[in-house]
Amino acid sequence: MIKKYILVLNIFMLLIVPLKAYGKKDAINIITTLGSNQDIGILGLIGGVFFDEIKKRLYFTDSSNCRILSYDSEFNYLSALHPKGDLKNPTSILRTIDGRFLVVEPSKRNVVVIDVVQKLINTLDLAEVSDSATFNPGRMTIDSDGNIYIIDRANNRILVFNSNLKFNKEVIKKSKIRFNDIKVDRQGYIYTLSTLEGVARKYDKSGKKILEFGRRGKSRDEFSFPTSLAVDKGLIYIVDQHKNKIFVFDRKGKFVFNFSGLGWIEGRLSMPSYIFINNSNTIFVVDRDNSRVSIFK
Amino acid sequence: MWQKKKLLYICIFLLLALIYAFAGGVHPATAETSFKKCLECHKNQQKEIKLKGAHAPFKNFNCGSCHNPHASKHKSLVKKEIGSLCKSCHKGKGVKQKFSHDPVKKGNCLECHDPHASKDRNLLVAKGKGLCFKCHKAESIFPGKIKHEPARKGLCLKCHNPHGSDDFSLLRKNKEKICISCHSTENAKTKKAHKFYSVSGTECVSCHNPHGAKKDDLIKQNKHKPFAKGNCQKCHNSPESSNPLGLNKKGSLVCLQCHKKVDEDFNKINNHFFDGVFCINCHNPHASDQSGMKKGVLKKICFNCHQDTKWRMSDKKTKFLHPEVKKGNCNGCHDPHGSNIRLLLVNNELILCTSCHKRHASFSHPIGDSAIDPRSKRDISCITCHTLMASKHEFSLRFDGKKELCIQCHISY
Repeated sequence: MIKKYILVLNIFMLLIVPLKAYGKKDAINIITTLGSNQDIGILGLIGGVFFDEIKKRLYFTDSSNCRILSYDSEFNYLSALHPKGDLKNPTSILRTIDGRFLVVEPSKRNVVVIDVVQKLINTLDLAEVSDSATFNPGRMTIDSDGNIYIIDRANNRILVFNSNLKFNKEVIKKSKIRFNDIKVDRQGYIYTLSTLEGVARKYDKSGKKILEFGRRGKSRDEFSFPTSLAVDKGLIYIVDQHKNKIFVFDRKGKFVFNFSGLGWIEGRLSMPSYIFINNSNTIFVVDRDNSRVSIFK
Repeated sequence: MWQKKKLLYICIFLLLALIYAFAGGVHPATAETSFKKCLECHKNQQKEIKLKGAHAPFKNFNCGSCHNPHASKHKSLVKKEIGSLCKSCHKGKGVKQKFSHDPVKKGNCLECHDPHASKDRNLLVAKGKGLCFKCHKAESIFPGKIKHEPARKGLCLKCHNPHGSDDFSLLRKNKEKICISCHSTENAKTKKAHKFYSVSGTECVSCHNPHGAKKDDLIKQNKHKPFAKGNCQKCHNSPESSNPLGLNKKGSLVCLQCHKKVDEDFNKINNHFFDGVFCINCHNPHASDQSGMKKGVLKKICFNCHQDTKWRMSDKKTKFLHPEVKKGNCNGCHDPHGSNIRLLLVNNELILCTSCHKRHASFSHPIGDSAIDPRSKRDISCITCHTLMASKHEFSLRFDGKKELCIQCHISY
């Protein structure tokens, strides 16, 4: 009788490992990588990535070569946007609901607004923003209503502009927290990441903090140098640049698993710096030292 | 039947466990008898045990509380590694605070304490400066002939906590309070010296070296030009204003109005732009004993934020460190303000590396734009094969250079 129990227990234990792994990291696979080739030449430092859900286009900034590259939904190269040579080292990028590009330009310490149809390039109007003299934009994101959230690195705050690019409010006012990345989910919750603290935070629409998780450390679920975060329907993904991994947490901030690791072949990462997830849960990772965008699903 | 047998086995097991637990422990009455034998051979300890401040377990012949008389994995037959052995009784020493003294962090308690006995209090291996200056060399502490009295006398513990503190320099009180516990900021001499700016509540150590300096005022060696000229209003409001120590421009703008080149560097793709007054994260605006008006030793400034790099450098597996890393000269390769090149490098890595490794500029594996890494499809450079900072492999290679490294790309071999 006891022998039977032991046999059943052994079979059960053998099943646990593959069952646990199934549906987690094994479910995330590399689809393709977008890197240097004859069409686009040699890629430099890649700044930001944005997937336009309306046009079904992927855009990323090639900061070193001062251009924006576009790809179709099958990740075929389309064109390079290099407006009149005026674009200098673009980093973070997004596209508004009405089709204008917003690009952070470190040299201008402002956000450049590119209207491709009207062929106009302007800077974002900061007239109504307090302390605009010290404004220094970091990463940006857009919510489902078209509102744009911009990190002001100099003043440790998050500014919100409406879809017409008019300043609306400071959703998180001057704080002691250094914000390195920001994303907004479909319900309007705001997620931020602080690299040096190794902490991710979740805020409601009014800017009230409702969740805080993560820390820097040496163990498997701790960060070395987290640089970017993204949210899909149920999980929070955080890029660790120095561990060369993507950490995945549930909505309560509990560590679930991580994937990828240091490497040079497709699917591996070397100093990843940015992550973006589109509505169909395709994961775009800026694989900075490999000079490519790695696409996982 | 099976149930009764099971119960019987459990009872026997519990009974044996209880007997073992009680009989296995060393009873104090027998400890003295048995461990007195230790001193028969360990004659040095015979004198030490008579000293007034001898360690209590040693004095009570409870050698077994720290040592295993038969065998141990650790030196001197101690039961555990020294750090965890000491902390099993001396709980919380330097671990509750934000910053710990390095020997405390590493569990090297014996750097400062004798585990058996000492003529000095707290079982210290030496007194005052004889103890602290063993590691903190006097020449690095005293930049000039003039010495602050407590430091000269080696009364380091007057200001510092030897185990840990919430202050980076292990101060007993925070920087705003520690000096005024002896010195007043309200007397006429102090007011005049500070151009009638109220300095109460400020950090005196930001301008004064608390250990010593070349001049009586203990002001640090390198002075910011406006500060040296007494031109405080170049950056601050006037002493009569409602906020005299307030800046006349916001945050970094006050610095960047003169430091134009630095301003340009902060406009680059990768930059260290943080907070409103980010310059003073690394620099001291008044005086410094370091070059470039740095707040402290460069490596310490960098590691203050880049903790994981510090962990990587001190990892036991890391055997080969880049010489600049060993020197703590992070600026040798990285631009601390900003760079358009990855990893804040001061130049393209081929130019940067070959500026020192000159032979490799003319002789090396194919590198540059025309040499493509078959794995990543990007150009091959020095860091394709070498890690910039440290590695467990010789020549700071990413893999073992005998074979593993080469077959990453040359698969057919």
